[in-house]
Amino acid sequence: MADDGVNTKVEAVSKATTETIELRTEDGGVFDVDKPVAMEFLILKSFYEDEGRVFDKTSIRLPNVKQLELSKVIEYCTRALEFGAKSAAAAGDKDAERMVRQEREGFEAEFVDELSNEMLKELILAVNFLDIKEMLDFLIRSVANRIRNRSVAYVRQFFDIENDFTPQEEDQIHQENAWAFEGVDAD
Amino acid sequence: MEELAMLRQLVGQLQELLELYGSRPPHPLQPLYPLPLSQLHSQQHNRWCFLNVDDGSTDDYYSLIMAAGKSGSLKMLEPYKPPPAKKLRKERTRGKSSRTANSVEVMEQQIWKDFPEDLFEAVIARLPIATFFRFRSVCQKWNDLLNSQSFSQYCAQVPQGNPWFYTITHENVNSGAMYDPSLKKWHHPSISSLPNKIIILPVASAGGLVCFLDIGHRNFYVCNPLSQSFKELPARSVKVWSRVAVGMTLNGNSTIEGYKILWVGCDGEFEVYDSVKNSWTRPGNMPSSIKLPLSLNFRSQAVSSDGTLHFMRSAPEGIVSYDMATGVWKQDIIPAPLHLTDHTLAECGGRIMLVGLLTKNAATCVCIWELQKMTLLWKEVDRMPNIWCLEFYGKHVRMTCLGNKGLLMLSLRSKQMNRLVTYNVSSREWLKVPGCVVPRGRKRQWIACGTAFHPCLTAVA
Repeated sequence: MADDGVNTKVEAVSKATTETIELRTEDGGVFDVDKPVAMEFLILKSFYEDEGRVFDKTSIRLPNVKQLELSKVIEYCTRALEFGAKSAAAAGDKDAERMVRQEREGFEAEFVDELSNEMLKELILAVNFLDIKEMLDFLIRSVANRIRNRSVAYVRQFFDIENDFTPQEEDQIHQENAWAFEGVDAD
Repeated sequence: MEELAMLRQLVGQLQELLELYGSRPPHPLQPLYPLPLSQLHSQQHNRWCFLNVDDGSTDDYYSLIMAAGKSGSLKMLEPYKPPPAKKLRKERTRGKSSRTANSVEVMEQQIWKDFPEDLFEAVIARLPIATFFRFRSVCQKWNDLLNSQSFSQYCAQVPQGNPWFYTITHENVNSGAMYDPSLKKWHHPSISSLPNKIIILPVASAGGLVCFLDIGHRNFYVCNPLSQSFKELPARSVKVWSRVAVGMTLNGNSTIEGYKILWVGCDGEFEVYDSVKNSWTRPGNMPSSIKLPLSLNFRSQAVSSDGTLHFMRSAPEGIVSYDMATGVWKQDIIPAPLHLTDHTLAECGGRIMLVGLLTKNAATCVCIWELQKMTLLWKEVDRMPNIWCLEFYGKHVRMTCLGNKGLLMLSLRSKQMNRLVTYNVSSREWLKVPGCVVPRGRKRQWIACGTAFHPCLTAVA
C-alpha cells in the first residue's frame, strides 16, 4: 500500500462514525463493511471512483462470494489496515517497525493455519474476484508454502495432476534437475 | 463443522449437475493467453451461479447494484465472451476415482479442479528456485513453464530477495557451484549450459544473467545459470586481446527490455554491446581529462548503480564512471585508505562502498568503507568481528569479493585456511558460509572467482 493510502486510511479508521457499505453474498449473508475496508476491494473501489458514482448507502450484491469467505476477507483486510497504520506510526523507529512486522507475521501465520486447503482455494477465488492485491499475494504465497517442502508425488496428489511423462522422460527430467534434489528428503 | 457443511453443499451441487447433464462436468476451459484476473474468474464461476438459480435469469449475475431505482450492468461485469480456447490438458481417465467412491475423497481431489491456470502459475512463481526445478517433473505443463510468457510475468512480479552467488571453484573450472544465501545451500548443477572446452570466467551480471569472458579475453558469453539460456556475443572489433574491465546494465526493469555490456581497457578504449541490436558500438572517446593509462583494478567488479557503471582505478586513485544513457565518462579522484589490499567496489542503495583487507603489524582485518560524496573521501563504517580476524593473525591472506550489490561474499584464503563469509551492507550482518563440497565429495573447495546474480527463472540471454 502506498504511503498516501495508509495516511488517509489512518484518518478514516480513527473516525468514530465510519461510513459503511452493505454487502450481500450469494448465499444470503449480509455484511456491514467499513468504507476503508471495502475500498480495499478494487472491484468496489473502481466501481465508485472510475464510474464517478456518489458514495451512498447502497446495498451491493457480490454474486461470486459466499459469506464464509467474505467474513474471512473482511477480517484480514481490517487487520491489514490496522497494521498499515501501526507501521506508518512506527516509521523511523527500527525496533517499533520490527515489532509491528512480527505482530503481523504472527497474525498471518495463525490466519492461514486455520484454513483447510479447500477454504484456502475458495478464499483465493473470492479475493481474485474482489481484486484485493495484497491479500491475493498473501494467499498465493501460502499455497506455495504448503507445497514447497513436499515431494513431486505429493504435489501431484495435492492438485490432482496426472503424470503425463513416460518413465524415460521422467527419468531424464529428474536427471537434468538432479542438483535441485540434493539434500532433500522424500516428502 | 463449517467445512462439512460446505462439503455437503458442494456434493449437492455436483449431484444437481449430474442430474441436469446426465454425465460428468466438462473440463474447465483454459484460455491460451493471460487475461485480466477478474474477468477470468467471473467466467469460471458463471457456471456454478447458473446452476444455483431457479429462474435462470442471467441478468442478475452481471449487475452488482441492487439499489432502489438503479439498474444496469457494470463495465467490469459485462457478459464475458471467452476467446477460442484449446483444451490444454489431456482427458483424464477417472476409472479409479469413480463417483461411487467415498464422496469426501472425491471432494478432496476436486478442490483445485476449477482453479484458474494463471493462478497456478502465480503459485509456482512463488516457490523457492530449487523447489521449482524439482517440481518440473510433476507434469509436462509445469516442465514447460520456463517457456511461458505469462509465467515470465508472474516471476517478474515476485519481489527480489537475496542474490545467489555463481562461483568457479578450483576443482570445477568448467562448471559453477551456486550458493543460495537464503537457505544457506550450495547447488552443483550437473548439466552446464556453458561450453566446456574453453575456460570462461564470470565478470558481470544483471537481471539474472551472467556475463562471461574467456580466459584469453577474446569472446563474451551471456548465460542464465538457472535455465539453459545461453548466448555467445558477436566478436568485438578490437584485435588486441588485453585485459579489460566489464560492466553490465539492464535497459529497463528486466531482461525483457534488453541489456548492455561495456568493456574498457587500460588504454581508454571501450565498446558497448546492446542486446536489442545484438551488436557492439563505439559511442565515442574517453575525455582527455581522464588520465591514461587507466590502471584499472581488475579484481574489482564494476558496480552498476542507476544506469551508471563505476570502475576502480589507481594512478591516480579513484573511480571512473560511465553513464550508459548519456555516454559520458566522469572521473573522481579519491585517495585510498592506507595499508589496503585486495580491495573492491560495492554498492548498496545508492551508497558507494569499498571492501578490503587492512593489514597493520601482522594483524589483518576485513574493513568496509563508505564514500563520502561531499568530500570524496572513504570513511570506515564497519569491520569484520575481531574474533574472526584473529584467525588471520600473522598469515598472508588473500581476499576475493564476489558480488558487489547489497550482499557480498568474501573468500579469504591463506596457506592453511579457506574461509567464506557473507556481508550484508544494509543490515551490517556478517555470516559464515558453509563450505562448498561437491556431492559425494568431502573436500572443501576454494572459490577462485565468481559473481552474484539475481536468480530469475525466465531471464533470457
